Amino acid sequence: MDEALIFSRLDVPRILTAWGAGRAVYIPETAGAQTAFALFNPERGLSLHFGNTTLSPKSFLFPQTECLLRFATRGPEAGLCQTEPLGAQKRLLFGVRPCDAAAFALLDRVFVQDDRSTDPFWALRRERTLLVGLACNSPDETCFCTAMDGGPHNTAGLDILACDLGDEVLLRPVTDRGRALLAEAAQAATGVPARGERGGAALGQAETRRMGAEAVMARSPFVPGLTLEAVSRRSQRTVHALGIWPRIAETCLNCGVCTFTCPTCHCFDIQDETKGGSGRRVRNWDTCMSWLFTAHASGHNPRPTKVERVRQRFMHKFKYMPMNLGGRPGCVGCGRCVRQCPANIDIREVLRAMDMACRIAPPSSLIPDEAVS
Amino acid sequence: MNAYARRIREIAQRLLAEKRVDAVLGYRAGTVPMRARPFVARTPAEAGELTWTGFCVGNLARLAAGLGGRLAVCAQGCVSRNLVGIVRENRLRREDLTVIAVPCLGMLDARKIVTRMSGRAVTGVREEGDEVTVTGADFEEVFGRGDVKRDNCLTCLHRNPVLADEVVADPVPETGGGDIDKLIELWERKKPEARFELFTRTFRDCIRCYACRDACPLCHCATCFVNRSNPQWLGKTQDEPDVLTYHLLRAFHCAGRCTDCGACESACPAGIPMRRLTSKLESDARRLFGHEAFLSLDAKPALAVFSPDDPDEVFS
Amino acid sequence: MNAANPYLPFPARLVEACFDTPDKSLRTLRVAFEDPETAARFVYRPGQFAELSLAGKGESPIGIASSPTEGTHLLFTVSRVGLVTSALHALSPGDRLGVRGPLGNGYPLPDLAGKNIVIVAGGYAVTTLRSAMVWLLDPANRKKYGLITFIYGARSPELLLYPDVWRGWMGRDDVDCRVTIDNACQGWDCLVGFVPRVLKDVAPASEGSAALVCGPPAMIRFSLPVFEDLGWQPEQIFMSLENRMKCGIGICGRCNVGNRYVCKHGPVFSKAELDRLPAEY
Repeated sequence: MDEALIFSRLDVPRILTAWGAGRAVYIPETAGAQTAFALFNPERGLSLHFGNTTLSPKSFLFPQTECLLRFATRGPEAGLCQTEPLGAQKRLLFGVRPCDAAAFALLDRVFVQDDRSTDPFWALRRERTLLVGLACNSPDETCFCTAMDGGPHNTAGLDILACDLGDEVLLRPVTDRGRALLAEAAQAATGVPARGERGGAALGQAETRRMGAEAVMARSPFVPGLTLEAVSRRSQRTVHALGIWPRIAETCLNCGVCTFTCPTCHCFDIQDETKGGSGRRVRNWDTCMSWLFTAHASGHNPRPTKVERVRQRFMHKFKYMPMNLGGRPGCVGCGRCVRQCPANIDIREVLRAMDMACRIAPPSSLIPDEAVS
Repeated sequence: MNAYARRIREIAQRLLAEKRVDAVLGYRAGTVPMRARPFVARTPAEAGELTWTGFCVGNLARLAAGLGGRLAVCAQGCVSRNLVGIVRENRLRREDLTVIAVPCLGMLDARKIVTRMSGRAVTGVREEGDEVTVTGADFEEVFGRGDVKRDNCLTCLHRNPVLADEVVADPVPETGGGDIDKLIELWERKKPEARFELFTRTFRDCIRCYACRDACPLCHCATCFVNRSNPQWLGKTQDEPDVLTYHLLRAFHCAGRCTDCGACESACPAGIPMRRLTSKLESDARRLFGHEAFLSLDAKPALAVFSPDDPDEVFS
Repeated sequence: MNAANPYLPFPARLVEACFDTPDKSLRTLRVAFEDPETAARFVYRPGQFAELSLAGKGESPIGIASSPTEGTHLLFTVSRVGLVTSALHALSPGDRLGVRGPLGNGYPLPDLAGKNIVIVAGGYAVTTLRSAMVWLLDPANRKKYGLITFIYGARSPELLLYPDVWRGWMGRDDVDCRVTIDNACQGWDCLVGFVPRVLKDVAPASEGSAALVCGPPAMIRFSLPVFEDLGWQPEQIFMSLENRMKCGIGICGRCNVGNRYVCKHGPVFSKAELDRLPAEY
């Protein structure tokens, strides 16, 4: 199915049920102040009115705890490691916001780099997971995807993008898998092709909602002028040596909330565990906020205090990742860290501080800077 | 609250102008609705940003020890007790600390407000006396302060600071009016299996972010037990025994020292009702040892002293 | 590198091991792959490292001390500092371990063909430089390079590693081998003096040369100015970094110095590259 289809809003549960044949379907559900992806239950229905999930959906492709290898600790096979087989479970996530989808596209480049650096666990889960996004019509105060090379109706990383038009829902295929998925939907419910007058009206409505959403973000005191431009121009040494870091770090608690709720944070730890005759090598999410993250066994720690660790996080997002990924910011502007940081350290403010400091910092004395205006 | 903010600014500006302190640790307006941010003011001009609202949650004593120099801290009852704690535990010297005492009328729970809004975005909150007005793009609703107050503020036993070098307002009624021991009944009525089931259920959503630990002023060990790798005391996975062990061990480390300030609960991104543990710790200390943590600089902590007639019952 | 799963180590056995120093803090392990096919396919370069894996304990990134010209056995010199390295020290011949690798970029020796090579080593940082030296002095490679100078120092004679190898170089006329200790000691037949001092005496010409430098921070701090005074450029000097590692393949995000991962873009970096990175190591 190449073109977009318009469905009645009331048909969405039926479509999800159809997509559930041979797949586990997850949708966002709100309970109190928390929203999370949960298994779709036709009897409970679904709501298209939610902001975003409290935790990012990255755990579907990159679980917080994941067994990599297993081994015996006794007998002739002791110490021989076997790869942990991944289940054949196919999944579909419905309601993924464009920011989180962009994060998946970014993490694809982190987990699958080249022959030597390909994570088979991510690759397999990615292949077995379909992503149906829900375009954002009313961004939150803390959203800033437009400043991070994203947009409320962007399709990067998605198989299908759904747009809520009130009584109707517009489903737009993005990938070949999305096209096949849309064909399945068309079997379950009546979808009107988005062409001609009817289609044009629907597409126009979606466009209006997109512009409205972008306007909301443009009205935020934080978004206009928020850019990586100056940071990308200056050398990493210069950005690292800026005087802003101690002040930014002084109220940080160095917990892991920002890193764990962030859709692009991907750092992990690898540990061995044994019990009786068997054991496993397991990976867990880790956080650069932790002292242990970079501690050498000798006792030396290149990031011994809070300041170095806080600086590392923002340098990674706004300098190192763009350098390694051809300019793509390491942040997608989802706003979770802004909403959830216990100390209300605002990444938008930090970027603004980096940007302003980069504009005025004198050239680095040790090496010629790329471009100083 | 506005009068509070004015007084705090006056005091802070004076202390900084007279160079009696190097910095004032307080709060300034948050960047999102229903938040206030910890803030370190180092000049009288910066002190102009200090504020005080019902969203000054978290516990500033957590940051006080790490800032160095001569520090003034805006402290309500619970925070002032934790300041006593870090002085007693040698993380800060009394002579380097100036306590700006803020008698507390209880803080607000942003999550309670969000839940009542049923998905409608909040753009602002006004506090006027006993009324809390919540506004959004197309609505305005008024609540009684008690309806949206934080749970531990409802049951607070010491709303007036126990240390005071500067005073922001006249003392307020000492207790929050709620019955703190009623919360304990949640545990007391249950048999061990049921207690374990409640404990497990409470921490089901924990993501091991350690925000509870990092928000807590009691957790100031140079190397936390969680970060030790030789020997490693507990696993780092999401397996239930590891998650529960972390919380259990941390609770025991806090026993007898916890003021039930609720910073852990405010910090938790998963909305875990951490107070189910902290309130029990606080209650047990009172019941078993007749002790409330850090009410004065002279009182010895309950678990740092042995007396032959100490009860044999342990924190349970 | 295991193609299907880069986290899966190759099974290997400890052939033999010996302690290098009287205090037993360093132990050199000779390791053989269990599967001859793996051994044949394990192609590595001097300067690369491997994650030595002990199932149940964990992994530790250790530089490969052997040269690929020495056959299919691998040599690793392990310093006992923590959980995994203590377990590596406790292995007996015949015990199983895992080898994951080869990892890292290695010294850019092929790019330096035709040049004079100066190797400056201090303490037990000499491990991967042993690999480089043995490789360079192999008949297949020696003729491709100009002068080869080896400067290696330790606090005292018993702390010098691999005497079986460098004593042999002393007698050769195609390598200038200078081994030194900090303070004079009875029975010592080689040089006395700190490594930077010996380097200054050697005064290697910068023209058409390259240097591989590995040692403790103090040695590095005093050796680099010697090179600078002799007119060496940062592009000519190569160093090997260490950092806490886990995945070893540039994914887990932990070992970075600036935008470079020590495990993947390093551990070997030129001084010119390091000068562009924040000094956070």
